[in-house]
Amino acid sequence: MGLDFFPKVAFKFNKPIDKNYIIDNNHLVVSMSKSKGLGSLDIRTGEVIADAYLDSVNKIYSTAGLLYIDRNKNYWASYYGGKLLKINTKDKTVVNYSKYLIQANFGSLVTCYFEDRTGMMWVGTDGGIVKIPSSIHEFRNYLYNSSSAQHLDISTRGMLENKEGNLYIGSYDGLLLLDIKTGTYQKYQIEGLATKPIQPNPFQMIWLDTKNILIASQTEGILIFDTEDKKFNYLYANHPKWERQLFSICKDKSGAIWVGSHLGLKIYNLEKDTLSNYAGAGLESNIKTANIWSIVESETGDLWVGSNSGLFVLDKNRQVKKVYNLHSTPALNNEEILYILPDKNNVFWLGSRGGGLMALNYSSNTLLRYTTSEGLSNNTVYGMIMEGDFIWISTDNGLSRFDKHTKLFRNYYEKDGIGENEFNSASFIKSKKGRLYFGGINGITSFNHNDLTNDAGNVYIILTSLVNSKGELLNKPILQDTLIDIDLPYSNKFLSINFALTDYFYPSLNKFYYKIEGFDDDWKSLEGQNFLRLNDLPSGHYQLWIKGKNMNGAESKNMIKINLSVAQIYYKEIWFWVLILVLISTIIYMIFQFRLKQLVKLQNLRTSISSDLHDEVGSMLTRISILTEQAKYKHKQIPEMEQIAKASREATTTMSDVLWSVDARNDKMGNLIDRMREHADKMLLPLDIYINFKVESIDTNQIVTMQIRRSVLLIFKEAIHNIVKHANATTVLIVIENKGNDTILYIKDDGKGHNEKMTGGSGQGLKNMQMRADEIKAKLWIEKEEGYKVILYFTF
Amino acid sequence: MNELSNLDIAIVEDDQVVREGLKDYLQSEAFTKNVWAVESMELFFESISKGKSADVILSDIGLPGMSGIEGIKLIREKLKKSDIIMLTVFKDENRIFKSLCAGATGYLLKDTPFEEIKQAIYIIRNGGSFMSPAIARKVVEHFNPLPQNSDNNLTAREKQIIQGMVDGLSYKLIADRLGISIDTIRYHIKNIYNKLQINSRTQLLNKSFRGEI
Repeated sequence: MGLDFFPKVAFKFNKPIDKNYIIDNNHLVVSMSKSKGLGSLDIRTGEVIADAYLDSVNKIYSTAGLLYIDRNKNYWASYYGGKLLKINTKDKTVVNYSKYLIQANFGSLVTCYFEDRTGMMWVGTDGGIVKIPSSIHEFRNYLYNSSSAQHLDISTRGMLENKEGNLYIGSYDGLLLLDIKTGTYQKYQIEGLATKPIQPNPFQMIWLDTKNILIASQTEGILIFDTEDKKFNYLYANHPKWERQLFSICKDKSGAIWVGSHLGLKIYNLEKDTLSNYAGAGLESNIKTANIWSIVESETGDLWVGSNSGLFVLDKNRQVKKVYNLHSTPALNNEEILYILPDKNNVFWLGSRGGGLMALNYSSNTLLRYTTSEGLSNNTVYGMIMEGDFIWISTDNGLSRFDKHTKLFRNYYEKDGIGENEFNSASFIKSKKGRLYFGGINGITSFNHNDLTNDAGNVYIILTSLVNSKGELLNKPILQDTLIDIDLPYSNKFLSINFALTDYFYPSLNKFYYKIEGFDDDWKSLEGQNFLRLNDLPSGHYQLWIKGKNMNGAESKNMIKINLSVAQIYYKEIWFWVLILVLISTIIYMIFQFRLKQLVKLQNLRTSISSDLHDEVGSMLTRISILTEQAKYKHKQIPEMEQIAKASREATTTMSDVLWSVDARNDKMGNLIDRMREHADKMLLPLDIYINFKVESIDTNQIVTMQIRRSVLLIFKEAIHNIVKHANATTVLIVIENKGNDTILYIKDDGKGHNEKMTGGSGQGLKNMQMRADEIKAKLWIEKEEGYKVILYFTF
Repeated sequence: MNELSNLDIAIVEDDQVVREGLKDYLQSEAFTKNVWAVESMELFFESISKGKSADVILSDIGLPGMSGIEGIKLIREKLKKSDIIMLTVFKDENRIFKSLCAGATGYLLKDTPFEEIKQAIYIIRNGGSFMSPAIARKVVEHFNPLPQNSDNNLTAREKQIIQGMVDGLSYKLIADRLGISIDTIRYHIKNIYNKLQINSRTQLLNKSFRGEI
């Protein structure tokens, strides 16, 4: 027992102490014996340092249990009976978090503490863990009853600030004067008249002058409170109760005092001390009977009146010039207007009971609605305070901060430290120092707007798991703003990413967002889903970004960035296509080479056949020829010899022609023409026939097929043969020319004296010619008039 | 036509029937003195070196061993005064032209009637030769690319004759056209062949021959 590791120091204590302590600078804070609570000791000497503040705390809370000192040097201490306190010894404030233990139905024994990087305090108890977020630190609550005894709750209404900066607060327990530093208050009630003091029940209050407060009371009509005497001037004591139910009060620029009652709009005459009904005519008579909740004078001098029967706008002459209700244009979302907040540009913000927040543009006569659907914490709006571009709104359930630019709401609830969720109408004020106060059914919550807008918090997104087809890629979760490279093969384009936000207060309200950098313009919301399963990713390179937001809208300070490289299926890769192309080219080339070789082989074959025939058959024919010549020479008288010789020669000639056709070297048009000319020379020159051989517009290098060469030559030979046979020509005109796609062969002789008998004899020859022409699909004309005229059209 | 006599004729032919047939015929003719026949160029040169002579040589183009065309070149060197007549089975212009370039003086189909062979020998021995239009065209083609004033190019008259041939005119008509005799034409043709040969040799040496060889 005792502090064993300070063996050299002796401590003088009367009572034994626990093994439980915190070190704050140079002193030790320990929980003393059961009845003494916390005590401060000098480390070096062990001397008890007198601490009046701690003593005062001890008086209230007595026995202290487990201790903790947080990053802001607050002391956390659990006290006997399920109490949890946060003690700020500098400000000398105590925040009582006991309700968290109570609400969670946890046990009363605090067993451990943990403060996470966001500043949230995790408190371990014998019944589970309680989480207390850091934003709680920003709210300071007054008049808050943390016990379960509800009759002790202080329900507040209208508030006013005095010179000292303290607040006068209307409540159902009297008019309270709250010391905002200490949190203590004075209570004032109406004395006299009866034995029991009467509750003033101030609903709304305004300063009448520097000393007096003019009160619209919910039960006692008009009251004036003298802040020096601290006494009420109780007026209207003798008036009936129904005339004493007042809810709102407003002094306009002209000095008239308007009062809203349970039954219509009224005017208060201070000198005469009379409350008269509003008599002004106008569009609506409802204003005389409605429950008037709010009276506000606009910049332009109009009087705006919110009631349970809609909204009335009174002009400077105090005539009702405009009425807004459920049937007006534009129509209100809800008729019961609890509060009106004028803004610039002739816009008026309206708080309603059940219809949420409305923005009425008086110039353009348009209305915008904001309800819980848009993020408002609750549709019953009690109080509104403007802070620049923001409006703080107290509702039936929570405090809502509205951003006029983004139209977004950020809500705060009990768990955020606002005390009680249910607020009251008419209960709000902005102090001269700029602090905001909102009151409800259990005390007042106060804060600085700036403290909360900077409430970004230190929220980070953590990558907890990264799984691809190979399995888990991470050894441990990654926090930093790192860039991770992932390569995915085409066959397994799957990636599973798990992540988390470091805000553990309400994890299910954390939201996550992702986008593919380069593809998406906007972030895509995953809502609360804290994983991404990516299947069937498109091929390519891109970056995936993931960020998170906690329930308060604070974005993570970092982002998860993953560099994805998804391989293309092989048949879409460029190298694949190049390969295919090369392969195809090679195949085509090889095919061509093969064909070429075949052609060359064929060519060579033709040539070799040519040569073989030439050599062998030719030799044989020559022999026949020579032998017959010899025989002829020796035996001149035998005419048959002559015929044999002739036949042999003709055979040779025919052979020659055939070989000439086949020989590939004679492929050209020039060769054909030469052959024809030679034949003509051979046949016609010996007969002294003049040959007029004309070649017109012919490309002698043009290739002619074997078939055409042969057929044309044979037709030509036949034609020449006919001319020779009828032997009375002196001139032969032969023309070969190109006309378009056709080539024309024209043969004409000037022989005379043909008759049909002769032509009949050459019938077979003509038939042959026609046959040859048909073979090559050529057109053949033969005329027999004066000599032969043969015209052949052929194409090649 | 002048009468010729005492001609020594050599026949180079590998086909026995043809060889013997020609030899028999020529032998029996009056204008020949010594007619001898061998079956190859090698044997021909052997015979020459052994002292045989030939005024006219009738040679086959397709021979075993040394081809007729190669033989022509050698004969031209050795026997400058001899005339060479090529014998072909078919009228193969390419080979005929090559032979002419090599130095042949004329050409004949093997199955030409004997009479015509005799006439051809006469013509050639008389200083002339014969040409077909196809051959004429080849000659034109050959000489065309040459510069005008080169020694080996054709003379104007020679060109006229060639052109006449190309145009398909008979010798008679060419002779009429140019006002010369047919013999003159033949004489010119032989000269043209000569020039062809010289030209071809030069060209061959220059390696610019157009693939005819």
